[in-house]
Amino acid sequence: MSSFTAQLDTLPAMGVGVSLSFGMEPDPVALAAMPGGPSFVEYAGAVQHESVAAPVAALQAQGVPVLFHPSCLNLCGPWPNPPGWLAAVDAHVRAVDSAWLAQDVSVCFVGDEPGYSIQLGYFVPPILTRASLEQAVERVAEVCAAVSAPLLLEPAPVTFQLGEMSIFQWLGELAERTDCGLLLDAGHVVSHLLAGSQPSLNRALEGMDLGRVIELHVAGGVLEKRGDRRYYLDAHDLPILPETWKVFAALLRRCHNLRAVCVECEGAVGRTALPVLRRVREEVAESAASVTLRIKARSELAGEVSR
Amino acid sequence: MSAMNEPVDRQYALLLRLLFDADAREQLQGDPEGLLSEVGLSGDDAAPFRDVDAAGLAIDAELRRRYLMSAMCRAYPQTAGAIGAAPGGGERLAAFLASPAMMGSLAERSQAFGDHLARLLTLNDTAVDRFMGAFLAFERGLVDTAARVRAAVEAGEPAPAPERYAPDRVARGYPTLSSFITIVQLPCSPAVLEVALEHAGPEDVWRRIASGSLDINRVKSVARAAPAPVTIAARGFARGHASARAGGGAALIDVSHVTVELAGLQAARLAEFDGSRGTAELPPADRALAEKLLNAGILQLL
Repeated sequence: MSSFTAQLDTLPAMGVGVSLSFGMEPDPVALAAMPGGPSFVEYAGAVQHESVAAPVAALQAQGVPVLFHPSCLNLCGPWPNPPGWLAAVDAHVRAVDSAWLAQDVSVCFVGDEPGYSIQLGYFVPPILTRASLEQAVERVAEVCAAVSAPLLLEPAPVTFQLGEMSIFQWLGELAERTDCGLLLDAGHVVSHLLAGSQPSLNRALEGMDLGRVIELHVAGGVLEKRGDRRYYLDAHDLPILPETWKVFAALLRRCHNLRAVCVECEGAVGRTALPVLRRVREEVAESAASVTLRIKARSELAGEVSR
Repeated sequence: MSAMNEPVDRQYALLLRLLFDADAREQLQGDPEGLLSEVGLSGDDAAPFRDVDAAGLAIDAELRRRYLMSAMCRAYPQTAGAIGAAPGGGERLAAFLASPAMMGSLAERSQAFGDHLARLLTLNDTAVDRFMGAFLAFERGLVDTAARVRAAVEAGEPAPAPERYAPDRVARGYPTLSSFITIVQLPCSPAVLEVALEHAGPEDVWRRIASGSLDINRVKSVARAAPAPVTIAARGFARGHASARAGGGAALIDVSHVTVELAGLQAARLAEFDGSRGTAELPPADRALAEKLLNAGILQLL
């Protein structure tokens, strides 16, 4: 039995939550207090956990757990993660009691000094080749060796693809070789379907072990047309596109070990969050392949959120 | 640390260059083999770049440019606004994205962007450029002060918010300039330039530049007007921070400034507040000024 499989039984069913930024609207603490609010809050933020101590404590006092979703780790590329940086990430995960650590597989900083993906404008996606995969195995192993929580690998959104492999094949192999879990963002999957040469979701997912998918994301986006091609751009402040809902529904039916679904809605109009949460819960309760998550969502809908 | 000599290392280095350097993207279209040879990629190692979707790559680069230029111009809203209001100004500003400084720390990058603005102002040496020199000095002063405040806090030294003094303490004290002070003399109030830039500020100046909505002629009008000099004193302080004690990376230190604007050229007069004269000894006009500056936190009491 791999250690991933062993860990699987220990991962809690988090239910349906939101991804938000502390100090920005919609306010995660206020949203969590509302009937029908999120069952967990996922946040990006600084490595130093002291910076989020107050809002995390406020959420935990309400019985709402948090997940740290950073954008500061190099999970591919040639630039290693300094040990001190990894120790700080581990300290953060422990301080907030994050059940797992998930991040987009990307280059977040360049050179010796660690930093955040925003310093490069956004995640720099992986080059999808065998040689790059070997390097990514090293980067992920660095993180796994230093961080106590299970690591989930997420495909970053793209508008172009470099390399002969599909992201699904590349990421699936990375997860297998490093014995990590996966986080699939339905919008990011749309972006890869549009940017790659494989427009069929079913075919694209062949070869990826969907049993490793622990969390799904669903978020707003934009479709941009250039020439005869369309490109997907992440936009968490906008409504979720029909193409994304479709991919989300398909993933929900196939990822049988899911523990969490997260609606990413940073910057969105606050009053739109609850109806989206309800729709997501209804879909999860009705059609999730994960029995654990389905039961959790039904419980949330019944107002019996077990926090 | 990798020596960056494996083909995959060179591939990532080229990918980054393509995301930030418009000339490199153009070369990939016009002379791909020349570019690939220049970076030491050939055969199968070069293959990913031969097939890349140019439109998709351009979209990614545009998104990064929008985000990074917004962040970069935030610290230099008036200088960037004035340069960006001129025809082609936005492109000249964004040329900085191809600079090696983009791969440095945020502090180094912000200071290097100030250097870039200074080069742009000396490039054509127009009346507007000469006029803007003092404003750039002011904005660079704030950037430098913020960096000094962060360095002090990281070193465990205080950089507190201004304190309020009781009247009797003021009467007995010896006023001196506070730490983390920037003092500049400008040809006119920044508020006048702000109006000329139609209130483009840190939050939106790059968006306004990119949309072409700023009018260089309005800036020219300010530059040609009779001087109405002012002196600005600004004090930086740390509003809060999270330490980086777990190692690696800069601490998160939020730096704010309080500023006071005085009519006329008064830098020399401000420098006389050096703690050698007690408030009670000051002539009435200087005492009134000292009280105003103490209230604002520009001066502190010894």
